Amino acid sequence: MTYEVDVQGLVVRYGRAVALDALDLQIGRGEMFVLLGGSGSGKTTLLRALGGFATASAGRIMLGGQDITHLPPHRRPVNTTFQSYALFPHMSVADNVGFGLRRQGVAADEITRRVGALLELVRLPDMANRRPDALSGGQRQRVALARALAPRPRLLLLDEPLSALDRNLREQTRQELLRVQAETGTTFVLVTHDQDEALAIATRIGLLHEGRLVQVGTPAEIYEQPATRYVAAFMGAANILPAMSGPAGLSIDGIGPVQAPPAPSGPLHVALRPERLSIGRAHANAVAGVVVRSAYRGAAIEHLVQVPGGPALLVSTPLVAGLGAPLPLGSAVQVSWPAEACILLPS
Amino acid sequence: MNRALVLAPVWAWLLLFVAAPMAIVMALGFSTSIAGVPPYTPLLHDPDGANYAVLIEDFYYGSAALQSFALASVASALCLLIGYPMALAIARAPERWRSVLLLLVMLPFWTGFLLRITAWIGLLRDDGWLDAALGLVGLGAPHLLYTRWAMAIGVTYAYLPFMILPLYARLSKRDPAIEDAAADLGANPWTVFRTVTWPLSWPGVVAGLALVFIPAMGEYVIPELLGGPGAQTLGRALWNEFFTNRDWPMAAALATALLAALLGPILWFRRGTA
Repeated sequence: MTYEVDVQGLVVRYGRAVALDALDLQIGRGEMFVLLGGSGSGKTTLLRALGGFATASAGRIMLGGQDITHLPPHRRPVNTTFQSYALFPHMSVADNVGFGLRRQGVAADEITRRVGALLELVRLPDMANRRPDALSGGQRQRVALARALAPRPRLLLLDEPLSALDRNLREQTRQELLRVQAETGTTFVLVTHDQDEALAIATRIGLLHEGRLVQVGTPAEIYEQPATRYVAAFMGAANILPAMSGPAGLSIDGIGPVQAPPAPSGPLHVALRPERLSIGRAHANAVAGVVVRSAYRGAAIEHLVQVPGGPALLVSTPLVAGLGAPLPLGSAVQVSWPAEACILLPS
Repeated sequence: MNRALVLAPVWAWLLLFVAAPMAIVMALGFSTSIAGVPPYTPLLHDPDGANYAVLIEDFYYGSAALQSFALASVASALCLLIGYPMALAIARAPERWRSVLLLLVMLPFWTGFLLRITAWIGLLRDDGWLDAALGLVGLGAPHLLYTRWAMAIGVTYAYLPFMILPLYARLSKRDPAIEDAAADLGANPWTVFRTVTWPLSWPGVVAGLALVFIPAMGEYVIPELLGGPGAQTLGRALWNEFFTNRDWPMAAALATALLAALLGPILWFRRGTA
């Protein structure tokens, strides 16, 4: 199998700081690959290295079988939508979208035709003669997308494409991105720090931490089978507890023996997602505690339950019927969870 | 009401120190030179346009205007040519270097203008430093001092900071991602400059050209010190009328004509920066 993007042992340094450390990554054709990570994780550096804006100290970047490691940005069949959109403020929307086509020497009437088609694609057909500063944030985002798609790149890079949009627009734009990708068949690599966004849009996610890819997998794999404590915590598993696995089974420190999937012997960590814990004795594993904090979150209520002599567990109870109120502080409650809710992490 | 109160000092200042002197100069242009104190007929007593007629009829003034125009144009172009790369380099220098580099650009202002122009005499004169340096690389003696090239060099040197500062202000404000975007879309470095950097810096270019061209048109000291006797620029012609010929009305008419002639470029510059 040949990959569309094949990054081999890529090292990028900024001065003496190592931004990317011997990174390997393979991305298939037509994927919506999401680079996820906190600030300083190297996700933006990797995107810039793919675009040609960060210099590789070592390693190779192959695109469609061609070595592009040392090609300058303007000679790569890669286009980018920048976080700030970076539209040309002195050009009309049509001239912005046509910029890459003019660089390729496409004939003027062909440019007009393709720009028109692209503005149809991003649903801005009437904006061709506007200046970027006369557009809303969502419209600018779509112009930036059309502009980057115009030269028909093999690879489209999107740097935090949704972060500057408000919540409603973000959902709508996410659907637009998926539709545009389906219609053009282009390989997308998208950078974000928002794990919900990554889960919702990605075919696969690469989670970066301190210049390394800590896990690559489908959204379900990353969410259900985090490889490390860092991944589990980043993907929203708030309760990560030290535990010991032995012949008698698994025992969580401060809670005691619990039913869990089989684990190799030795010390390890157990991650329990807040939404997989229940208040009450509904499940196999149960522990008693006292409510020490609560928060109303709209779609759910969160309680922090302190186990006497043990950990505090964050429990999220969905408000299925729409109504509900937090339990009073100091309430004695049982917290329970099924065996399969235990996510086992190597120590 | 409060607004008027705040603006009152501004208007008073403009009226007293801008409008009133200009009105006097303009009125003076329509009076006649006499021997006496003051050396002109009472203002607005019997105004006539004789001074302006002389300005048009005597080609001495027309030629002075042309010389000044040529000098200001060449110096503006040279300032742009030298100042643009400097402003770009400062704008792209690491953050902590920028204020130091800007300080170095402005450093010459800390010493006297006259002194610095006089120093150029030592640099430009035959067997001066520049002459010796050019001789070392086999370019011979160029005889620069007291030529129009000496004036152009002097004006370029003196006004270069006025070109760099507005250009820097403009270039440092830009989003670097915009140039990245152009490169990303297939523009080579020259095309990035031509299609993005230059057009986006245009208001800075216009402001820099205005700040060099307009004062250079009336420049007196540099032609006096570095130019030859034949270099009769408007500034020198003005000085001669005023101090040598003691013809204040003629000098006033010349100053008014210079101001009127500069209104054209000023309006163009204003449009360019708007």
